[in-house]
Amino acid sequence: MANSKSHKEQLRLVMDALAESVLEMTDSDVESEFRADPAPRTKDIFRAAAKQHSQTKLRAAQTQYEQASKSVKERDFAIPATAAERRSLLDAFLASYQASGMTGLTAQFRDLKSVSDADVESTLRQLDALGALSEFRKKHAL
Amino acid sequence: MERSKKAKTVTSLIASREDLDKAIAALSPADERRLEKYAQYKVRGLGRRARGQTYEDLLHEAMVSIYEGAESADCGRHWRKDEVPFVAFVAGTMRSIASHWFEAHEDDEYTEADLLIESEDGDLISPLDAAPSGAPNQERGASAKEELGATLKLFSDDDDAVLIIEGWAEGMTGPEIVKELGMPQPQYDAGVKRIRYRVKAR
Repeated sequence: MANSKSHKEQLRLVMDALAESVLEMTDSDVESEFRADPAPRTKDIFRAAAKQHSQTKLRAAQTQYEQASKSVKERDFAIPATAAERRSLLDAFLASYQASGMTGLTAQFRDLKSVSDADVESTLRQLDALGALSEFRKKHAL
Repeated sequence: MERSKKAKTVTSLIASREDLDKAIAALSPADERRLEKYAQYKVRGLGRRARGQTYEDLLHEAMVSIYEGAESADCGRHWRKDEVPFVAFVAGTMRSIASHWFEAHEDDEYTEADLLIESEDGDLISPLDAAPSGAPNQERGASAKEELGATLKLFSDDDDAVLIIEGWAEGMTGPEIVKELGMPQPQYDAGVKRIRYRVKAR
């Protein structure tokens, strides 16, 4: 084969031409020409690809959630050491929040006494992570 | 305002995940086979540059990329279902991926590149042809040169087929072969069919 192209390139061009020729075949030619071949698995492969894509997305979301959750857990929170002080801080925060006319958050803590110490601490951690607590402290010089 | 309207129109043309699920379910047996054979020939053309990737990997990678494109404007391949038929779009995606694989492994070297010899009659003969193994060339690690030689050897009694293969190897398209080599279209089509019959996709 007198050709200036490399053998790799020539082989690729020949196989590419055969590939493209398959796209131009009629349905009946495709069916008769490859009749002896095992049944194609194209749909199965595509469905597996769709599944893999979903799982990859799910894993990415899980990783993101875990990282966010880890960063909240590992954060050095500036919250009081005792349960009573924490409850008092949240109480003050909610009062200030309510005074500003926003009621969405305070509705959940209408009766702060019924909220467990763990929930109080968790709420303060979340507020601190959001930067709301430090803003409140700055505003009230706490 | 005008810009966001335009962006919304473009986005609406891109197929969703549901559109893709439906398109896959609606593939006819002939389309399934067509895409399978397309992938097989593409990977065979890559030779060692496929780096062990199979036609199934090519089909799989193409579809993952298309699903990515259905859910993100920034990555994957975006199927505009009103403009391009699904099979043509999947084939185009595979064409692009195979081309990327080919270029990515450009520096790969063949280890048996100089084995092909020419007989007194001008035939290309590979010493591997005399080897007792009945395994396909790919499994024996044959080079592109050997595979080309072996392909041409299959058509030693078919001048039209040799002409078509040589034309393709020069980078000529079907219409160019028909026009420049003066081969009537039906003769070209029949030749291509004979080549496809003997050079199996795998």
